[in-house]
Amino acid sequence: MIWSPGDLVEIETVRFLVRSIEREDVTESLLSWMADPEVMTGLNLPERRMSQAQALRWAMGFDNARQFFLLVCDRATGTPIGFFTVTIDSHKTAETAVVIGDRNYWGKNVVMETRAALLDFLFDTLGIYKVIGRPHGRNLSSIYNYNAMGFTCEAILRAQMLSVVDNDRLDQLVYGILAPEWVEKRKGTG
Amino acid sequence: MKLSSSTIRLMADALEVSSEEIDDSLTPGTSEVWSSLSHMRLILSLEERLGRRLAPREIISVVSASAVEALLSKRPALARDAGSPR
Repeated sequence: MIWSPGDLVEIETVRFLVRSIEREDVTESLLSWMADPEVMTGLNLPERRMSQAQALRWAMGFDNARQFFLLVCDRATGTPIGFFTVTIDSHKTAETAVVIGDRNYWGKNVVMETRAALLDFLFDTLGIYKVIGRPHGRNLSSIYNYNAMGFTCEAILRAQMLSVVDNDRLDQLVYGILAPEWVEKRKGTG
Repeated sequence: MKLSSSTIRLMADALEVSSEEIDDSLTPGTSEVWSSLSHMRLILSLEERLGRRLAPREIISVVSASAVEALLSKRPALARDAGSPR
């Protein structure tokens, strides 16, 4: 893939399209994900009813160079069902987070399929060396996905954050995968 | 590793398959039956059976039927493994 900083990203998988958000994508369905407590619990963020203008400012703040807001769309319908955010630092390390907002797609391995394509893009096209994710300790589906994709749990930050659900302390896990590890995983040897 | 009937039953219920389909070759991500949703059911079932929340290291360890068996047969988590206080 030929890509230059600032270009819109478009990554296809068998079932999904992962692409940069554009103005017209800031719709009621995207706003409704942010207002869904169960969706936001995965990120340990409180549900938030954003206005269209607030959401637009937020989404357009990603520059497609070091910060990406990538919609996950069902290829068959073109409908957005969730999103990734990606932040790249000056050490060629990228941090990602993912939200699948459309509950109809939960449990259908959307994250595994789309994150695999995203990792290909980050490692092969952008030359990133390490990708990390930091799920909280009760985000069981996220932990499942990181483990199944060959990430290593590098740290458990004990009682790192307050739970938005019950104000209890939550652990945070730091998962990471290096470029050569992903190469091995893709080959089926990792 | 020979799996106990309680491990097989717990996993079959969580993964929503028959007991005959549970063996140690099942792993997360390589079988359609062990999806993220069924994994959540499995962890919550384990916690219900053990009567406590699993520590992060224990949650991470659940990658096979034998890992489930080991958790069901072990003592409560050591303090150093327990993560945040529950």
